[in-house]
Amino acid sequence: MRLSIVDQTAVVSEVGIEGLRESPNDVALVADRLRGEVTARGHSRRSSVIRRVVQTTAPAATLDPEVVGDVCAQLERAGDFQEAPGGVLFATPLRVVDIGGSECHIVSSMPTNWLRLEVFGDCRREGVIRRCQIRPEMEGEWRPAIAATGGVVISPETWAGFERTPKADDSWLAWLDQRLAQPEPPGTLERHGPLAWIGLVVSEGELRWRAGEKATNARLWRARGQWGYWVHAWTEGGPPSTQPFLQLRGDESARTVFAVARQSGEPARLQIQRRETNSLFTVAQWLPYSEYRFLSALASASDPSSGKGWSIPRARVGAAIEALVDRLGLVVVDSPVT
Amino acid sequence: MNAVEGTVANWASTRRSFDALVERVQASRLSLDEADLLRDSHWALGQDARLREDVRLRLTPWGRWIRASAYLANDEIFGRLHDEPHSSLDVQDALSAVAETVGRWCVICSADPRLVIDASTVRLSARELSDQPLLETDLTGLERYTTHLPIHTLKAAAASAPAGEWGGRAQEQIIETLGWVQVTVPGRPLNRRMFVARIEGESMDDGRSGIVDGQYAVFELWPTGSRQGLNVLVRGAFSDPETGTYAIKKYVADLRDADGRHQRITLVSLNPDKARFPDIHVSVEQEDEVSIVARVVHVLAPSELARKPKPPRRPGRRDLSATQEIFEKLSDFSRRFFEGMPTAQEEDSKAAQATWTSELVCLDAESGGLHIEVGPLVGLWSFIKQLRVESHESRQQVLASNARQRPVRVPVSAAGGPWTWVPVGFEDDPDIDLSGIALSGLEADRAHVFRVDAAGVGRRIAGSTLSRGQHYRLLVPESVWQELAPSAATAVTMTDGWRLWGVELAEADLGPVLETLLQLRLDVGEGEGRLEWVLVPPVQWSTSLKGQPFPCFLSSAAPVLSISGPPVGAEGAAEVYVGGPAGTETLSLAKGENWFVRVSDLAPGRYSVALFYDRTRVAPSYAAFEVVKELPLPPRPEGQLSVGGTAVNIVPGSPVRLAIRDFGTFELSNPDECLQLQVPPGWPVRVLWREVSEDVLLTLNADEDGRVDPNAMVKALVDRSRRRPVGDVVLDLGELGRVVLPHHRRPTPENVRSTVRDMLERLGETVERLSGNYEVLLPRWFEPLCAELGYELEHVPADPDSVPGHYRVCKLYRVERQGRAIRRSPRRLLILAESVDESTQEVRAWLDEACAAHELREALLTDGLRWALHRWDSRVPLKVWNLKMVIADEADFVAFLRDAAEGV
Repeated sequence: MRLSIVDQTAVVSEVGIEGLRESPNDVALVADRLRGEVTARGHSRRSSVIRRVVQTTAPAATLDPEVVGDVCAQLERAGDFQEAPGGVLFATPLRVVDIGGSECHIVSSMPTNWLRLEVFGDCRREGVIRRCQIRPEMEGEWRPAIAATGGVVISPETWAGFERTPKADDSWLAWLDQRLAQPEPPGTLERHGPLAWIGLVVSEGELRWRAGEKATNARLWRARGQWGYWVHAWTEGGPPSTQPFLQLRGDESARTVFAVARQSGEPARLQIQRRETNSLFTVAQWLPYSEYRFLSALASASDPSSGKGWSIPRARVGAAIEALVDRLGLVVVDSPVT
Repeated sequence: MNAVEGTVANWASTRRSFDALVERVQASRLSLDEADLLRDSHWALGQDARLREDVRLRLTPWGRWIRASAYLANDEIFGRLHDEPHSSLDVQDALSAVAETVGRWCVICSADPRLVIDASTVRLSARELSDQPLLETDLTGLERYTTHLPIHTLKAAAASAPAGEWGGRAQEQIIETLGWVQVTVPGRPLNRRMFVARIEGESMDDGRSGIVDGQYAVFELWPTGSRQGLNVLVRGAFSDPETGTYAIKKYVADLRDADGRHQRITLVSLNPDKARFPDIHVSVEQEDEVSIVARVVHVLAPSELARKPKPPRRPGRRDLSATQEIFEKLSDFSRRFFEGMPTAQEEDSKAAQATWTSELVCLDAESGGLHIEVGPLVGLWSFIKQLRVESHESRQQVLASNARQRPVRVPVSAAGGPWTWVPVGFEDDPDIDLSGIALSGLEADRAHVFRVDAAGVGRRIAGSTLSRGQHYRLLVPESVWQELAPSAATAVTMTDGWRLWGVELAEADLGPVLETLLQLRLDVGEGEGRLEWVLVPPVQWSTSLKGQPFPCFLSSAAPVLSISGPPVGAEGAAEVYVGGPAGTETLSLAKGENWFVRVSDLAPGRYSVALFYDRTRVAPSYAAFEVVKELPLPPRPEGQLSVGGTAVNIVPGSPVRLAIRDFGTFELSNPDECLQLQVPPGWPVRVLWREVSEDVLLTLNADEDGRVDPNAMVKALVDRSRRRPVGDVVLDLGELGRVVLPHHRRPTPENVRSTVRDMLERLGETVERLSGNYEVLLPRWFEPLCAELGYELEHVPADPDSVPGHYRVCKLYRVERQGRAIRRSPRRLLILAESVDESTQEVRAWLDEACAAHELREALLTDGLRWALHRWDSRVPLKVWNLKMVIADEADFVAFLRDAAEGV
């Protein structure tokens, strides 16, 4: 055992986080600090995780707690962390999504350097997303090796939960109608004051949210609630302030948008710009959670702030289109390359 | 001196009768005792005299008297005895040396407990001396072997050549000596073959010999004459378990043979534990290989050996060079931190109960503030499934299985105490006593301080002094907070009105904070060192059995400790100690107040860290960590389910379907025994009920051990399965897979009869009275009764003009399992009527029309109590069943069910 006093610069370069000194907002580096903290603790409150990461990194870089909090939220959405009631974050098992083309998408709270993926191939980090391109000579070995380290290899469909979630089609709407047979009384969502409801209408081939008379017959409605979150409702026609309704969760509402469009004969559009290597997908509507997970495993968000544009390797375009058309009824529109 | 004396003489506060005494005191180099001075000259003559009446004399700090103008030289002499390698000083010489420096008459007070004045010499008293010998090197030839002996290690002495080979040289030239030490051997003069050595090992410790490990003894080299019965230092071709090829033993030989030789020599260990300290037997052939190097002459008592003084005590200072003492403190900390607790299997449950703890901890406001932390309750009776914490305003339960294994926290209100723990279901059992973990309430007239530990948990402190550099949470009663100045710090108001105030005393400018703390009658003392692990992330945080967290690092990583604390003015004024499996290392901190210390080259094992300042006002800081060889295993991506004794593994991609069972039967069972689900910790599990569509019954997250609450799951299943005869329970683990648990309840005629009888007793008269009032009777009577008969009831909007009287048409559906699918299909119409008896032809025709309209062949006609089955196009008189009648006879009831029910 040896004890030595070290200066800040030396120790920062030794532990390999000098990158944070230069760019303290680097999502990939911050994400790995967060993963290390949550995995080592097993579980911890989100606020404590963020505070500790800021504190323990302080000798190397001054992290902005808001940025760290945002990265933490991205990790939760990506499935690297599991959030439990009370804002407690739990470490998650290693799940490797086999996305084809000898490439896999890594989901786990384990920091990247613990995964030792370099044994199998080239690992790259894009924000909080981690992918590994398997070397040809490791093709037959990586799956058993993942299992041996306590991980599991799953298909994109299993990762997305396609076998557990319904498609956005007529049967989905029929199920909503069946639930609507036992509705909640009109106006009961407005205990804290009237809400500005807007209804989904299909007009001129477009899905639009409209208020007032333009949406009189709309069945899917939404409004900003007291705390700024969206509140969603399904009715026989007309806003839930005057009509009996079925309250929907955000994910159910997202699925219903596609189902309504499909039923109306004006399905939602998937715009695609086919390029040499990566094609660009754009879906103007929010994807339901399962389809979002599916696409996020196969593609990279081209514009993470909007969450509506995706960059997808050419080899995976066919599989992605097939799944989205089948499940959401999208119609594919080729756009010219700009 | 004369001027001083003259001045004193002129003062009125002298006493002429003391003149002779004063002269005696002035002539003395030693202080004198008042009683000795006054007894004969004054007190024996009945005079009430005290030396304080004369200013020519003054009192020493030890109650003796010296002349007022003399310089008391005790401290200087005490210092010399400490600093110089002399066990004693000549009093006259020592006082003269001091007088030269101070220019005054010097005296020494003999009552000073630090010193012993013996004839003309002064030495340190026994309490000032350590156990170490005082080694001297600068000796006169006269002192050697007269008052002083050389001191050797036993090993060096044992390796020495026989005296015959020395020639004219003295032993200290042959054996490497450590120095000289003054000794006294009662009744024996010293000689040139004698030396002093420290005894090693316990083999000669029989409680009487005095030859005890660590004691010093006088030896005499190469003894001549008979050695029989002597304790000797012997070396040879043997292997002593303690010292190897040399040892101190008692020499015992058998009788000499005809050639005058011993056949057998035994080197005896006096210690009776022969298993640990065996005797050494030397045969006649080996005799030449064994040498008797020296004999033990005398074991020295502490008073017979000149000893080193203890390090001087400096008030407010800590001796960082006393590393052994600090190592022991570090070792104590490590032992306490990592110490084990009784295991659950321990039979002595009383011993296990003694370790049970419960304490108030304070988390941040977002996490709910004040909590009670209980556990681990090792050895808690296994039949106790839940524990309840009760106060005058709340009752909350925790799973006993969790509390048995680890600390569990329950949020409580600060105003809610005192709190007691109760074993749920065994409240009245006098043998189950949880009073030891009861907690008293928080006093509502003062602030309560919680110091935040490395895990972010505020632990309550008893004192009212906070340390700089630390993080605290204060819980302040509303009334106390309102008395603070308006400029007081901002705090979060908890639901009970108490304020939760987080205080980080690391900030440079603490002005307003200090002001508020003072108003709360709290003080801020000198800072403490703060130890934090930075930059190198631990691979795991473990928890000691006392619930204290500590980090684990990979052995390939060198953890970095960030140390901050009160400023260190000079190198060596603060030191870091790290103790581990391979010993303890020390590092002096350089001048400053923030340091990074890297701990490298670590072997796997448990370590403890201490930070000591040389100022005693700065309390030592401790930390602990562990070094592991390999990364800990991540949670496994799978689940294990056990349902009524059947266990299955849940893995991604392959849904598991179990055999059909009636989940209503779980109502009477212990939830722990009928349903157990283990998944990765914190993992969400959706419990779905699937018939034609899917309902989410509830979503649960596994606890920290990966256990999904069986009580909540069983309750949800029982509630639903009691109402629904058929359905699939789906436990959905997301991408980790799902399990389908098919449910089918087939009620028996007895069950149905029993339920219907209950309903009749409760509502029979009401149904009769409210006949025709369908809006009231439908939810209360018809829907539950039809559910018993195996149907779901659905209202049918009917054209009022087409209904011949006061009738209401409903449709009866049946939910059935068909293979793996569950289907719901219409089976009959239910026609509610005011009277069943008046079923005219006109009514029968209308019933046919209604059946045809809904494509059904049968309709049940009822007024609530009387029931009749109409078949399409039949004009056979209706058989009317009166529930009040048929309920009395089992056969009649079965006949009624045959007409009216399905699936029974």
